[in-house]
Amino acid sequence: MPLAEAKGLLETVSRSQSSSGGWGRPQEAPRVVPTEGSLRSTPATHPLLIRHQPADDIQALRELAVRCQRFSPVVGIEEPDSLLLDLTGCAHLFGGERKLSRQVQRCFEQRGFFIKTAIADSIGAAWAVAHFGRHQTEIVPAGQHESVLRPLPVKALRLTETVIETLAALDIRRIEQLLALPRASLPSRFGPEVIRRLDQASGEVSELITPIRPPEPVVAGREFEHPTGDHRALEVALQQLVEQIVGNLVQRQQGIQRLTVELKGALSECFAINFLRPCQSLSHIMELVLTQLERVVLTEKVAGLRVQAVATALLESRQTQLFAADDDPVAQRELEQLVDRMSNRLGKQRVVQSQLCPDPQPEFANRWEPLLDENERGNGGSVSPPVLPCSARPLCLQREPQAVEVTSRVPAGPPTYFHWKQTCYTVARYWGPERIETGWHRGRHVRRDYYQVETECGLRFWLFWRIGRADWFLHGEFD
Amino acid sequence: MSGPKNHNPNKHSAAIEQLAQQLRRYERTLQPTAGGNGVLSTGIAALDGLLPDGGISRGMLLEWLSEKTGGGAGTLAFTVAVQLMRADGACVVIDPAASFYPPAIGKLGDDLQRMIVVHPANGGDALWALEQSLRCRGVAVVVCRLGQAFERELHHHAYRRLQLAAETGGAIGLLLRPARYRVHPTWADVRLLVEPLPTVNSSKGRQLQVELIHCRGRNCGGIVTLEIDDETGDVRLASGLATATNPVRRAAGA
Repeated sequence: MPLAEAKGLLETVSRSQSSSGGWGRPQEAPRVVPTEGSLRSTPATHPLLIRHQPADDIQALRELAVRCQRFSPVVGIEEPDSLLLDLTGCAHLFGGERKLSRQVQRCFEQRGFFIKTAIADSIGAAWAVAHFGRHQTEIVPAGQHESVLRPLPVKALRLTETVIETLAALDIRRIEQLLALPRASLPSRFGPEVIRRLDQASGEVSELITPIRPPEPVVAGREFEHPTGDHRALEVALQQLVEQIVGNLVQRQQGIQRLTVELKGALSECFAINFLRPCQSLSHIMELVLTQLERVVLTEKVAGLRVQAVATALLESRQTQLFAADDDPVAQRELEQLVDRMSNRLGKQRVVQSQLCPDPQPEFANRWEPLLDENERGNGGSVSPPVLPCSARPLCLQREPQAVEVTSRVPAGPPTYFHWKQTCYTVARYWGPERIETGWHRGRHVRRDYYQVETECGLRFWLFWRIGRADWFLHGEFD
Repeated sequence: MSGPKNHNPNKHSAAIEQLAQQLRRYERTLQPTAGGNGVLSTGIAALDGLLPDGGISRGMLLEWLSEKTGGGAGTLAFTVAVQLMRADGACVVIDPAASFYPPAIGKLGDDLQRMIVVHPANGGDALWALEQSLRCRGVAVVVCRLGQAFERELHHHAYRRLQLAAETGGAIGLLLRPARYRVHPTWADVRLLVEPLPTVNSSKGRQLQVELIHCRGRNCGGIVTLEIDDETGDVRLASGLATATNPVRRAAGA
């Protein structure tokens, strides 16, 4: 399973407060995967389906590699799912290889990943044991990797599918069977790949780890000769710093996704600006910076400024558009800038998109997702909710059901009169009840009988009777 | 003194109507971003007939007045918004009360992804978001409930700014307001009063009476009775009823 998908799935599971039932064994070989337990729990909790983006997987793997530099200065990746750490001279700093391995495990578990680790003399052996070993943590003693590799399947040598199929056709399924063949005949039978991979696994051919380096931070700063509280002076200085940062990013063909501005002084103030798409537009960036600056109340004079592009991304991603691809690009860009402007001023939780969920309980049938936080959005791949008649749900739903006084001719029957906002309404017609009931496993047990009622003057409301509690609530208005 | 000779009231009113049409055309050409002279349909033929020029032009503000929430004005406004959104681009919903419930317009389907919902914390933020959205050329339609949060903020000048923003950006503003504002002056191009009618037959389909009570640069006073289909949500002229030619005069604020 791709990393981005796994991460999204795990987030969904944790969001829906599902009890995942503990960590199970992985399904197959991948080194960074969600657990079987979490996968099993998803059908009951409406999984978020995310389109597979291989580039996102690699990016996520690279980010993990950067985080692993606390364990080793040389950390590389092996696509699609492995991290390679050169532990030469590192293990004693952590109390030995076993303790180091345990710390790595704990580090990933805290981030919600299930991993398998292996320490061996060569990259090939470590990769093979990590993918096909029986234990979650394997440490191959020095010089013994050949005996450990022998019973493993030939897939553990990182061979291509074609070679594996050829070997399978000849009923060569384990490495020991391959080693039993005359070494000189291997290249002519299966090509040069097999002998290279065998040598890499045994350590006879050296293999280099290409280290992943964290991107250099794009920072610009300025110290004032005399502290100032003049907004105009700050604006001019900020403009110069942002120009400097944008100029730096233009060379890298990158745009800003998140920018932080620090106003240094006795009481340092800091604010952040987020962008829907990687942005290089100086005017748009400055507009957002100045909007945030206006909202800062300066209690002390500012001694210096520091602007940092915390998150950047390649500008190619600008081609992905917020809405339909056939929209006018100018209008599209203006719309994206509007989202940036509103999200940064009002807060990203206040500029949202609806995600419908197939949940019978009305409160959970709609989920608001911030537009600015694309990682939290479903990318249009959500499970479709059931199709209801248009008049089945009210246009206005109360945040919490409001208790109302209702008079019924029959106990627990349809309402005849009710009081709402200091007005007594007479029910002229009603439709229902519609029984909505949820399972005990969701926490609070919900059992409601909903009535759509029309008053004498034609207003329509959505009332429900809480079964077992004998009380009525108004939940919405059919405006 | 005697009156003018050969006075023909029909000819007189026809000339006034012709001049009013010319004036509207002239005003529209002054709007910088209006997409030609194209008039967009609301998707409801009866409502198109009630509106000036048989539809909605870009940059227009429409007020939907109703006595109380639950009267159906919101459903009509969103039906129109969905139609305009499909024809022209994105829809922004400004909802300070955070009560808008999208499953009610579930027929939107994938179009729901073209809808941006804003939950401002106060009236000032709501007004700012409304103005920004109307000014944006990427937005086709803005739906906003001008409820309690706006009462202090939406003064005369602020409303005028909204109108200028809509004219600049070309977005159409559908503004839902309580009916008590019908006696207040407005910068909206059209003001519609929506009143629910009690259901008369066994069906669940809902009937709403829509009256044009204000129209900039044109005589107003038309009434239509619309019916909302229970299953599909389609809106059509209620059967057996036609456009009233002589609407009942109402007292202000009634």
